[in-house]
Amino acid sequence: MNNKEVKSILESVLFISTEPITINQFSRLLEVDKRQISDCLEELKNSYSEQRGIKLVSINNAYQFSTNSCNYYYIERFCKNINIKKLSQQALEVLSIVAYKQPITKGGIEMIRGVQSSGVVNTLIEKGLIKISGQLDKIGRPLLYGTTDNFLKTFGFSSLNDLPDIDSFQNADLFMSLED
Amino acid sequence: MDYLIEVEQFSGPFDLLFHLIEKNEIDLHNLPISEITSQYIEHLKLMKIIDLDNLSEFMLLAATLLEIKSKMLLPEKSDKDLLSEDDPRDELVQKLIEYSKFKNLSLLLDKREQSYSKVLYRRNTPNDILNITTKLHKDIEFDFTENSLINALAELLSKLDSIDHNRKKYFKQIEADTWTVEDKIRHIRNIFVNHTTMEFEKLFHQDSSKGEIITTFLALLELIRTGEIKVLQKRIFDSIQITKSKAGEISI
Repeated sequence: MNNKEVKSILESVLFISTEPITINQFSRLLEVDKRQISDCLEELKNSYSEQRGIKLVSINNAYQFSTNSCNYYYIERFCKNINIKKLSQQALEVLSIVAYKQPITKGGIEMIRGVQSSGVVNTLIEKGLIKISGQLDKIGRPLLYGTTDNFLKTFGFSSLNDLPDIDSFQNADLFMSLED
Repeated sequence: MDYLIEVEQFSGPFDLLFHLIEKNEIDLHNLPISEITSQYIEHLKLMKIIDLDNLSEFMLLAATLLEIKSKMLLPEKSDKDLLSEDDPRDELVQKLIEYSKFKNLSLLLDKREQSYSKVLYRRNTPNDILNITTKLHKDIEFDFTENSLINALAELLSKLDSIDHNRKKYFKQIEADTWTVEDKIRHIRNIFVNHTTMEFEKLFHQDSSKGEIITTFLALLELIRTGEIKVLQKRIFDSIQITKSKAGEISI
């Protein structure tokens, strides 16, 4: 199959899918080499430029179409129930800790925040932003938490490597103001 | 210091402490422990609506601050000790720095959430004709990971959402008990208008439901308690006889 055909199939499948599709899945579906799929997906991604209403988003090597955020106002007017619930400050704190320290136990989270975090952790699990990723092999076998692909999607990261360097935050505002 | 009652919510004790440090532009590496402690405690008092769940943690930090403060007040034994001994503030400062990183990061995430919440994806709705996508998706899913299980469950649950309102309705209703202890007491009393004794088993029908059996049994216990009836078993494994107490005997 040449790239043109592959891209055409990819585009159709992506259009109809409500979930991200991985390169592996595409490769099996089309019976085409992963390398070719990956190249075609990147080409396809680039063909949706800023001016287009649709973008191809990659999340952990899986691809899905999304709308262009510029058109949000009109989509909101068009669709009945778009519920965007903002996360609380606590939730964002826990989320950033989990994102960088994963896998981490609830105790570990609470250690950093200095406050009990069970409720927030449960809310984040319910929202599908974090998940139980294992158990620590220590007394009590505490659960370990990690972020989900949904987390990447929600915050527009294409993989965990996309997260900004944590140490760059050490010299954030607080410390900047001191140097003045 | 001029305080207004702030509506600001603090996500935890570190958040409050951090806020105070920021507001006063304090150098973290030379924390004026006395000043910050009194401000912190002052602030705790002002926080009228304190999150009860987290009250103990707020108090814990207040205690920690006081402990550090008192440690710093203690005279050093000698110059030698002064050099070798750790600054009692160190641990707290380290924790604060660690916390501040994530705090700042959460602000970044907040901004990203705001902009990326405007990026929308197609959603799988139960009545969507395009539901075929999930089927297709399954057919090409060969990697069996825990994620596929979780996704399958999530998919199932999302389909349940359509009947969710029915479930909610169901749970909001409290159905009247089919069997009530009061009814059963009346029933047993009626039996003993014409009978003086009765076998325990005969109180229950063969097709009695579990609920009915339990209710009848509770009614029986109630009547035994009030002394209206007596139960008697002559020999072990013998059938239990229920007898009506004589008029004068009611009361135990």
